[in-house]
Amino acid sequence: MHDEQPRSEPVLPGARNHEHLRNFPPVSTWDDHVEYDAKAHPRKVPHAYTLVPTTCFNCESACGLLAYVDKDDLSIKKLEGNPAHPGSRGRNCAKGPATINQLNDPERILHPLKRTGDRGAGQWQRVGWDEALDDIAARIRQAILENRHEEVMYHVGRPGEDGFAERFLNAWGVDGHNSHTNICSSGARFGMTLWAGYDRPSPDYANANVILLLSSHLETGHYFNPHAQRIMEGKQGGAKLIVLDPRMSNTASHADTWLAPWPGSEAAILLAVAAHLLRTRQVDEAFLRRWFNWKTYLRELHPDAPSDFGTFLDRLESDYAEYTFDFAAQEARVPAAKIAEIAETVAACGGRLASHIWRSACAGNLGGWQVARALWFVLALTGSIGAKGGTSPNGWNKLIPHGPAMPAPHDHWNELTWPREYPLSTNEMSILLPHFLAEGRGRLDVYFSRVYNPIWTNPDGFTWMQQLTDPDKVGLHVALTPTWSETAEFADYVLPMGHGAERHDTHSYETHAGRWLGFRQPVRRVAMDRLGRDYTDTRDANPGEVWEENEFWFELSWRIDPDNALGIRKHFESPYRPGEKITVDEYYRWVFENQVPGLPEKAAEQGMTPLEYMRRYGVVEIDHDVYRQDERELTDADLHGAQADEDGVFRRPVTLESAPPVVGEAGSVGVRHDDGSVTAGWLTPSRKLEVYSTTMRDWGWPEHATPGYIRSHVAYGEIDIAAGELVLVPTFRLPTLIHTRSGNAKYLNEISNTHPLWLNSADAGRHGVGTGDLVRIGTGIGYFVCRVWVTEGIRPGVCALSHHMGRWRLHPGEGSRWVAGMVELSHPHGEHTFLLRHKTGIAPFDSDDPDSSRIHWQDPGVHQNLAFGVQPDPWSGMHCWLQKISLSPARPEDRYGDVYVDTRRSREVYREWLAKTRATLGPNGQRRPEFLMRPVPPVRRAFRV
Amino acid sequence: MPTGPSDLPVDPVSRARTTLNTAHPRPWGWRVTTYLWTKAFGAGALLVAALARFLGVDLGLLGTVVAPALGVVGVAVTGVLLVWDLKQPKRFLYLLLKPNPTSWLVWGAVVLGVFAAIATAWLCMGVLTAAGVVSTQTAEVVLDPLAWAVVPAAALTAGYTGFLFGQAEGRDLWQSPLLFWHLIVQAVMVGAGALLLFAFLDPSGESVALVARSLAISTLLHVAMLLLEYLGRHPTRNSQAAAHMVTHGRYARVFWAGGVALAIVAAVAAATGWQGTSVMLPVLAGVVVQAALLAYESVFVRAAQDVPLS
Amino acid sequence: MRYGFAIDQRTCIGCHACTVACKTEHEVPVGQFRTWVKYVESGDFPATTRDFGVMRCNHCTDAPCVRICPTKALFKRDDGIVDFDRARCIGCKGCMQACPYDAIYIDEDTHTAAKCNFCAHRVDEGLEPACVVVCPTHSIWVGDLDDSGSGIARLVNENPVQVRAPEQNTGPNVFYLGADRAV
Ligand SMILES: Nc1nc2c(c(=O)[nH]1)N[C@H]1C(S)=C(S)[C@@H](COP(=O)(O)OP(=O)(O)OC[C@H]3O[C@@H](n4cnc5c(=O)[nH]c(N)nc54)[C@H](O)[C@@H]3O)O[C@H]1N2
Ligand SMILES: Nc1nc2c(c(=O)[nH]1)N[C@H]1C(S)=C(S)[C@@H](COP(=O)(O)OP(=O)(O)OC[C@H]3O[C@@H](n4cnc5c(=O)[nH]c(N)nc54)[C@H](O)[C@@H]3O)O[C@H]1N2
Ligand code: SF4
Ligand code: SF4
Ligand code: SF4
Ligand code: SF4
Ligand code: SF4
Ligand SMILES: [Mo]
Repeated sequence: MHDEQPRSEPVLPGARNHEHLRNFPPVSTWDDHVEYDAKAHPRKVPHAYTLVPTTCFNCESACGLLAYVDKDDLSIKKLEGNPAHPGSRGRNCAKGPATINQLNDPERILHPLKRTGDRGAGQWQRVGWDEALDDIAARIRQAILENRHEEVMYHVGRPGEDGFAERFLNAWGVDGHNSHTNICSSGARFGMTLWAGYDRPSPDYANANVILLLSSHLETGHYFNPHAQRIMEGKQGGAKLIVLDPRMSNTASHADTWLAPWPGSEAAILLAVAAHLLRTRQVDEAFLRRWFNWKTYLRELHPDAPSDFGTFLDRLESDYAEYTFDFAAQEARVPAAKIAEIAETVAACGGRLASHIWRSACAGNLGGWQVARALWFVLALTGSIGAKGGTSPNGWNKLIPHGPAMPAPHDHWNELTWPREYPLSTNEMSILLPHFLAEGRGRLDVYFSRVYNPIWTNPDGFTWMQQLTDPDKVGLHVALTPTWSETAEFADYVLPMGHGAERHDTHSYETHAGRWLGFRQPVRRVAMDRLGRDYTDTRDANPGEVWEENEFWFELSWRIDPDNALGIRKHFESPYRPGEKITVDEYYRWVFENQVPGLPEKAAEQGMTPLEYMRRYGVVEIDHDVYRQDERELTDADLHGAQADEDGVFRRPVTLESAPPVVGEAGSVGVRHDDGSVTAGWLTPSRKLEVYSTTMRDWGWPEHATPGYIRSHVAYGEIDIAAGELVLVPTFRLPTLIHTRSGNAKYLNEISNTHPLWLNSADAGRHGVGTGDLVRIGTGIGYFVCRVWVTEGIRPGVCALSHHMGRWRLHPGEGSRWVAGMVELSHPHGEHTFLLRHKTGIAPFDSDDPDSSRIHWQDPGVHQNLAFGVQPDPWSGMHCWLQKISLSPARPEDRYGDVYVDTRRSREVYREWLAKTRATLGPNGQRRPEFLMRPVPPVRRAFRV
Repeated sequence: MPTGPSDLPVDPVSRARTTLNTAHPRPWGWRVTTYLWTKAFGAGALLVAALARFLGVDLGLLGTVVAPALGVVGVAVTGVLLVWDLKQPKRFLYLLLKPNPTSWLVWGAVVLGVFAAIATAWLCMGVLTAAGVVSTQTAEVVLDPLAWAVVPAAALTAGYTGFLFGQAEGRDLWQSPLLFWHLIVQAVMVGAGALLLFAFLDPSGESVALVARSLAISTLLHVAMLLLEYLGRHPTRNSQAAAHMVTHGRYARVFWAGGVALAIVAAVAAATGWQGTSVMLPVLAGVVVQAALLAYESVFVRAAQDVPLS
Repeated sequence: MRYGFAIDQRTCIGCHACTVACKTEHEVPVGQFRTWVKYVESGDFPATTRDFGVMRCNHCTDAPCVRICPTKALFKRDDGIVDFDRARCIGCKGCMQACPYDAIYIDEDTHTAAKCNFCAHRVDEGLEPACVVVCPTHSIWVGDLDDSGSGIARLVNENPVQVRAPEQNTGPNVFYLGADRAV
């Protein structure tokens, strides 16, 4: 047994001591923890470990991990949870411990590689970091000198960090941030942003009375493990769980009520719930009176009505009266009584309705953003927004600290990412990038892809492939990645970056009603520090020549501006050693000493510096029980220099050279209420919850100024079932897999390695197909061939093919043989047509890891995304993932896994969807509403054409 | 996410479908099937030889050399198969060096060792007698007690697997209380059958008659016990499922055609040698029963292990 | 002293974290599992449901695997854990036949029998088993079933519980709460 915990050690949120067994060794022993060899047991063979906290990078939850680094050989034995982490509380999902597989993966890339043959031709040579850095830096420098700022682009998927990219992009002065957001979450973000400015929900499940999920948070989803923990706590506390999903997810299997609506009908359902709440006046009137911009609603929609709250409620009720249960039932193809049942349950939530939506209907459907908006409507009516047991905006649970000498905002506007056609897009229109390049809207000189595999994860991958192989469109493609991806196969440089346990980052997410800052660290490097071993930078701690992004960007920025002539270098100099290059230790020391409220005090309590504290615990809790931040009263200091406008919004004077924050308007600080109180409010222009959005009016969509229902592109009426059409849901996730990165985790792949099409028995019967049969799925631009699984776990009329599988590689040595099959690409009907066909399945292979010879699975899956055209939602810019497909038995020439696409059709589909937008400018010729989230926002002048 | 095989029962109430699971491959395969046979014919041959001695029938070389030789070869091959089947064959001596007295694997090894010793002694006597080194009288003095010792040793050699399989509590099909006796009957069947193959060494009518009768009776008994076993009710869902696989499922063809029909044919053919006058068909029967038993054992060994336990 | 598990299928979300944590703790070869999660679906749409069952060695009070093991490679400890010593195992696979729960496999690296051993090497040091630590919903309970004051004993005594295949009379010490009959 271990000693009692010393007094100075804080009680860790995840520490447990049940029946004389504890879940983690006490922190005081972390530097020297002895554990007995599990394999030698029952003989006692001791190993000495140093335990180093870091952060999981397998999904956005950023759960804490604790690495067991062997003190003898610095090998990482395993990763458990970090009990100090207030979000994950020492627990993890399957993908957390599987991180060890990614670190030890025989397929990973250990050295920088440079292309020698044609792009995509599979010829590489090892290069030194210096050569690669000099080459890339010279090109960027040249682009900046020649005022070609828009030709430098950093395209990142899930960044796993906050605040760092802003630094180097602003320092370089480029509007070069591109994200994956519009294949992920633009829909939900937009719907929520219109209400409150914030773009994500933060449900307080643990204290809820009713939990309403349009997601599958007991198995996947953002903040999966932290959320699942708390959903179960809420349920155990008596909360009712309602799940809306056309597919029976694991989450649905735990629901008190599972409703399987026709996809895209969810806004109708939620508005029917809202109408019921209004009709029966089961609404939190005090909350609505105070926080809805109801005066604007009346002024805009009922100009003749008296401007009082009672009238507003009456009008609101009558305006939404058309959303009856019967109407919703008809749209959703479910019994009206079921919807009424949900409405009753929600009405009884007592102001404690915790809810989540992120992708699901919002990411699947045209107008899907209205689902999130309708959901926040229901949350608001029940008085659940910001309340205990309710749902808050994510911003209250987040902290983004910045490093020293932050560069000023840039003053560029990149129309490749922020095109005129999508003024409200949330965020960059990344799915259209290859089409814009093809149309000649611009070119890229240096294109970084980082944590992003667009050829695979985006729709229309062949169009990406066409553009990425064209040196006139993309001058230099640098892939920053620890592993091969389909996209890296088409890069010029493949630069190996560390996995989650091999690099530095800070991050902070809405896992619960608290606030914390996590610190990801390269665990071997920290172990070397503790053991007094020497190193120069993180490369010396990582395998091969694997590096980390922070040091890479420091180094690259220095080389772009070696003599500080461009004013770039100065942002990468040490705050402690003037004129010298900053180190990561100095960077984080500065951040932790200056940017994190309460951290210096907490550290001092334990006799540590803030950096020591973060290296020890990997995380710091900043706040807990965070509710009702909208009601935070503003102090004189907050209001200093601010004036209230006619709507009571306090603003500080701004100029065109001011820059807005990432979310919200420049200068805006709070709002005065009718009772005279002045509080922080929300990040909308009115700083209220906008039941009427003047933004929508001003940007040309007055008909969508209020929460409403937009019929989906795959609504029931759009699908000719008799003609063999169905809706395809290509977006559901398996709890054990994560996009393309789980392809390097053997313990995950051995659990999940089949990829069937879920098909209801009624549909299977009508099509005359059974489990195991091959079918051809026709899409707007081509088809793919997959295998059927007949199940009662999906609603009739809808079929579903899970995300994650269908990985491939073109050349030996370029991919993960755990999951990627070798394929052949051909052009059967001319260069514009593509056929991808698997040559081999998944098979055992020889490597240092004996497990690679034990692969027993064969199915590489089907790369369905290739066969999807781009379908940008005209408002949010979200790629509308759900597909109208035709299902037919496979033809004799078809093989499992085949994907065929005609890229001319891709172009046509792009134009069809482009035609749905209204390219407008806002007041004063603004390209985009200022308060909408915009990564790395420029100064206000750049917002104007 | 495949659904289960069609010959496994589906829960009638929930119609539940297992969509994700993991199960282990059958631990025991052809080596165990074969070992059941090799030790059966070895033990059976000596049992028949002992029986002849008790009945005063002189089997000649069949009794003095062939039977013990079959015993020695059978038990030796059995030993080889057993060790070969170990995943750590080099540690086979642990059976005796680190023994667990509750394990029938340990006692089985002891039984096989004792039987091997008896069979070897018998064979030595037989060979030495045939070579004229030992007198017939001396041989008789030694063989009489050996014959008595053979009865429990051979019975246990054949039958201990009944206790071992009984300890294999995960395999309900193997839990039959009849198994011990059935294994002895099977031993006589294949032992007698094996002896018949060497009938040319001593084609006396008396010995052929005894061996053929043993064969016919044991084969009929074997078939009767099979039918009793498989057509009767099985006590647990697991054993029902296994029995169903045997009689109606994936093993039905091998079981009925190979295990049952062949055995019946063999019994009839063996019966033609009842009087010891006809040899051809009984010899054929001697061959056929070996196949019949191998067919049945392969089914018996596999079916029990095929029922999912999780 | 009788160590056992209680697995709460009412809160288990079928996430396989236990499966993977166990594998990393013991470096279990690919294709083999000491614990795994079974999915069972039942009912017709829309009355469909899915249930999970977390499977592993039951640390039986009357363990047939221990009885059959010829070399005492499998043994029952005083605290109730059915443990094994790979150095004694001859790989006869008798235990695999004896276990009515398919809990044992022959490790492909060592060619010896292996199964859940309750992470005895951790328990001996006062640490919870790896699968218990990782479980997001704390659905795996561990402790002394003989100590009526323990959390696990209370959970097991105060709730309806099931054990797998009780007709085998092995006295399983893994108790399930709210497991579907088909799991
Ligand atoms: N295990 C795992 N976890 C992950 C990820 C992963 O790859 N694997 N990815 C992470 C990322 S990047 C993201 S963005 C989140 C996304 O997580 P979520 O926002 O939860 O989104 P999805 O998993 O796409 O979909 C959730 C559910 O929506 C259902 N659904 C699909 N279309 C519709 C529809 O039109 N209507 C309704 N009502 N339901 C629909 C699907 O069947 C699915 O069960 O997950 C994160 N977490
Ligand atoms: N059909 C279908 N497609 C989808 C979805 C869906 O539901 N269905 N979901 C969409 C969603 S929500 C998202 S967010 C995207 C996600 O898709 P991507 O953003 O492409 O995400 P990943 O596949 O996780 O990561 C991409 C690449 O990053 C690299 N990488 C992995 N780990 C690291 C690391 O630690 N450091 C660095 N530098 N690189 C790393 C690897 O090369 C990996 O292939 O997929 C989208 N695509
Ligand atoms: S939920 Fe799982 S994958 Fe995501 S961060 Fe947590 S442990 Fe990692
Ligand atoms: S880790 Fe917990 S919740 Fe996940 S499958 Fe295992 S027991 Fe169930
Ligand atoms: S395989 Fe090993 S542990 Fe199992 S019974 Fe045989 S010797 Fe014992
Ligand atoms: S479950 Fe199986 S392996 Fe575990 S103790 Fe019981 S019989 Fe032995
Ligand atoms: S107790 Fe240990 S060995 Fe047993 S299942 Fe859990 S992690 Fe695996
Ligand atoms: Mo995402």
